[in-house]
Amino acid sequence: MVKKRNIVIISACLCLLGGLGFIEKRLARFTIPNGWPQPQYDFSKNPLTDEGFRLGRVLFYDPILSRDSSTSCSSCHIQFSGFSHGDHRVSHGINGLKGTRNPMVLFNLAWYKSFRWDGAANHIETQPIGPITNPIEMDNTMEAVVKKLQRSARYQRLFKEAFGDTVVTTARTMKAMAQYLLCLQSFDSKYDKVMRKEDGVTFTENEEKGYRFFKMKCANCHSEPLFTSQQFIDNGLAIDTIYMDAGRGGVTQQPKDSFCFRVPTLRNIAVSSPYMHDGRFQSLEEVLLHYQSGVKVRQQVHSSLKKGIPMTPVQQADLLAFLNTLTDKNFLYELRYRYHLKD
Amino acid sequence: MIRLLIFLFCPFFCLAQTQVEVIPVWGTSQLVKGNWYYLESGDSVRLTAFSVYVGKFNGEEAFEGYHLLDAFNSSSLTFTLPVITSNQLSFVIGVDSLACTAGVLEGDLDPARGMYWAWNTGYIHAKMQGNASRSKDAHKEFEFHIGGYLRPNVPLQRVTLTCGQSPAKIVLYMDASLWFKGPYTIDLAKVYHVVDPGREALHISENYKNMFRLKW
Repeated sequence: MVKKRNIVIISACLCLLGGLGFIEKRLARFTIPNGWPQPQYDFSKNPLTDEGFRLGRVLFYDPILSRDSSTSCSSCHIQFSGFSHGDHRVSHGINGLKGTRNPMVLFNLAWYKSFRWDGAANHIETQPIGPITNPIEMDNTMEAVVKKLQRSARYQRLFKEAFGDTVVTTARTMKAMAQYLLCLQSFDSKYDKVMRKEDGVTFTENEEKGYRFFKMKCANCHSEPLFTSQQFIDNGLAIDTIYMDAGRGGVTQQPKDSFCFRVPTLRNIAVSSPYMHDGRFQSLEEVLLHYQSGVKVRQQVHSSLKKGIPMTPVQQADLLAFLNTLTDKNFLYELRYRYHLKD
Repeated sequence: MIRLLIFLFCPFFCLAQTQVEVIPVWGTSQLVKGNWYYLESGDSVRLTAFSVYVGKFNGEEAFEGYHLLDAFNSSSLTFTLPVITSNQLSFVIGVDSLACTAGVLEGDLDPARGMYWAWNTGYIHAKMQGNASRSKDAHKEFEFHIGGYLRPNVPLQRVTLTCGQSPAKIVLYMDASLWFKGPYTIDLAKVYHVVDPGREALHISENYKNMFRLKW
């Protein structure tokens, strides 16, 4: 009887280990967390594979995509800051040329209807063509990228592993990159654990009060679980007369969309400074100060912000405490998202 | 015997497809890259690039049905269609919103073909570049990149032509001069740089809607 029980326990352990081993080996993991909506992306047209993910990961970290092989996606999208560019107001690309916008964080992208601060990119597979071909970012052409990759023995191997033969095409390149980007998922912050009632994790009193304030005053636009409604709104920032960035208006050519920008996600917000589309605020305190008393009232400013968001110093502190619970260290330091020399 | 068989079956093979050949022209003369052409408005132009997407022939929705015509690359100017059973040839000039938002596509819709807008994703429906004597550009250049899939700035144009019943071959003449006249007269001294969706792009597309014809 004892023997029998031992066998059961040992086999259960082996199964568990085997299962863990299997999970560990899978690179291309994608999960729809409980309570989240269905993703926008149609995975049936680009089924995730470890080989596709790996090729996408190599591409993401490889400066070969830029004209002079100087700049990669990861030059401006750095994992420990949520794949944004910590400490940089705006991104800088090839030859040190500066852009006009703050690089966006990259995670939970499968749920996005459009990309960039102005939503000008309508699909995750074609979004990277923007920075690759922008003269002030990577200044390349897709034709040249395909040729460069085709000449490389490493990429011939990676394409063969991912797609069955060594032929490099635009479609294969972009689909592999999309696989990597789609797998960048962040849903393991303290906030998530509290929501899942995991291991007895609970909010502190400050965090709890901050969460309640957030739900009343911020969640209208920064709606859970993505912490963005994906709308484009004018949040009343003073207009930068140097950039004169019309935001969404530049895409739709509609006056009502002038100075409207994407509502950014608040996940990992504490580690992805600076803030706003042009990175004008260095700290979250400055951001809260803007909403409290800095909103410039214009016709298209979002109705919920026209009078600002009044908050006491205590409420501000609570809100900051809550915002800090949105940092997902497991995501920020996840090994499979990093560059792997042996890929 | 073999000759007889070929003779008998040839019509079936020929009928299975309709061959289309596109001949770029300027009015009634053949279009030549770098030649100067005169406009009635007093301007003269020469073209260095002239590329046009056509697709959705007789309601065919598949993305494979789009063809990128490059006026200065003859191999792009012939293609085949499933046999036409009516006497109508209808197609669009441009790329519809479905294809513009479908992600990365292949073949003639490969974004590496130089007709993809990356700053505002979607395809350039039709492109014309060159020099104009009255252009205010420093190099006297003009540049028309016509595109857009968001309403109201959608320059997708549908063309319907009447051809013979079930033709084995169709020759389409693509008249570059009709970009500048028609519903809107384009004054190259004022309009010489149209590279985003909007009213000017719509006007030019209303003009070039008429650029295809079946007779020289």
